[in-house]
Amino acid sequence: MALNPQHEQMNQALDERLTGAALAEFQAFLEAHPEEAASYEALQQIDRMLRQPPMAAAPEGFAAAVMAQIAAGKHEAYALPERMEILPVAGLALGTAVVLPLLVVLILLAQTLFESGALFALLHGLVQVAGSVSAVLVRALAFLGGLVTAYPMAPALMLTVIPMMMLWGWLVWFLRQRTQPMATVVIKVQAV
Amino acid sequence: MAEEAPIVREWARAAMAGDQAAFGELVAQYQHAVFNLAYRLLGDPQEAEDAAQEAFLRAYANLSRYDPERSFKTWLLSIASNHCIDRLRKRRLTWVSIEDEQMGPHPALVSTEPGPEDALLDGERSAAIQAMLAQVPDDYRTVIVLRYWYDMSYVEIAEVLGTTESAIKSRLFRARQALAHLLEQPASPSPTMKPAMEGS
Repeated sequence: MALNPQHEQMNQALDERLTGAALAEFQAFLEAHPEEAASYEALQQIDRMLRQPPMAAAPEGFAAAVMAQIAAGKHEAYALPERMEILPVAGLALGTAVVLPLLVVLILLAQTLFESGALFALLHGLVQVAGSVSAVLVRALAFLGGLVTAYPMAPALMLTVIPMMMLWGWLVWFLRQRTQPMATVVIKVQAV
Repeated sequence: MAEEAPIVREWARAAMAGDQAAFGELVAQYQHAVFNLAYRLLGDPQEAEDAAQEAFLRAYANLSRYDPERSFKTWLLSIASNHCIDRLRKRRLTWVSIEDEQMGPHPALVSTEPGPEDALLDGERSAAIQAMLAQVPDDYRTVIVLRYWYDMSYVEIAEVLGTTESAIKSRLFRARQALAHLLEQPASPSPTMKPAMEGS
């Protein structure tokens, strides 16, 4: 989410990037809005605290330990696969190798069908199948329409079943997870 | 972030060419930066040490992915911070007290050759900052650490975290607000529980 202009200005002021007219405008804004001025003062306080923060030094022998691990070849486990510049070309070649023979077979098949006149028979068959499927769909819709007319509550009941099924599914998943060994949960309470 | 020394670029190029000793120089140069980052993000010195070591191993194993035109330090810190973020994600089921001993100052918390009083003050300030950082969400903590400890620009932080500059601006503002809010709260002696972050 983007910052509002005043907060953007506060950020810039803390980073010492507000100068001249912009800085004067920001100071005037703070004078006119004591609440914002108080917020900015709190931000300045935290900013001062974090300026030149103390560094934590690596333990003694750290660099030597790293180099010993490298000498032992432990870094090899962290190597990411090399970026293959050749990969797109190889993919294209493989695709061509698969698609080209397939195209040849399809062309030959189409040619055979044309020559024998079987293509028209095939198309005729496909149209008949499509017609049958449409008829079945129309009958199913008519049945559902009748059902809704006879039992107006049926759609509501069916809709209720969906969240119940989801809840049931989640419950099954959750119980299965419970039977598997879980990560250790450590809770430490320190009394003062 | 400050301009990188030419010698660092030379070491990086040599390491990429297979010079292990050159990588050793890079480890020596950035060990504190990487360890500190891990410590600030994870809060536990032992886990920070493991994470920092792993970050260097990852960097070495994937040197071929480093672009020598860019800052080696930013690349390395990006590996380290993303690795720490992964570790933080794995801790979600674990709860610890923020007043646990792991949130205290690490013995190695030192500035450059301070006197005993300075060291004590630094240790106290460090512990106070660390305790506050431990109470803000992981993504807030990450931007605060990258901004204040590593002086990264918004663009660099966005690059490291794989997000937009605008998202970083907003996140940094909210992080500062959250810390300011914590600073305003009176110190409470009651045991404080928070969801966290213990390596499993």
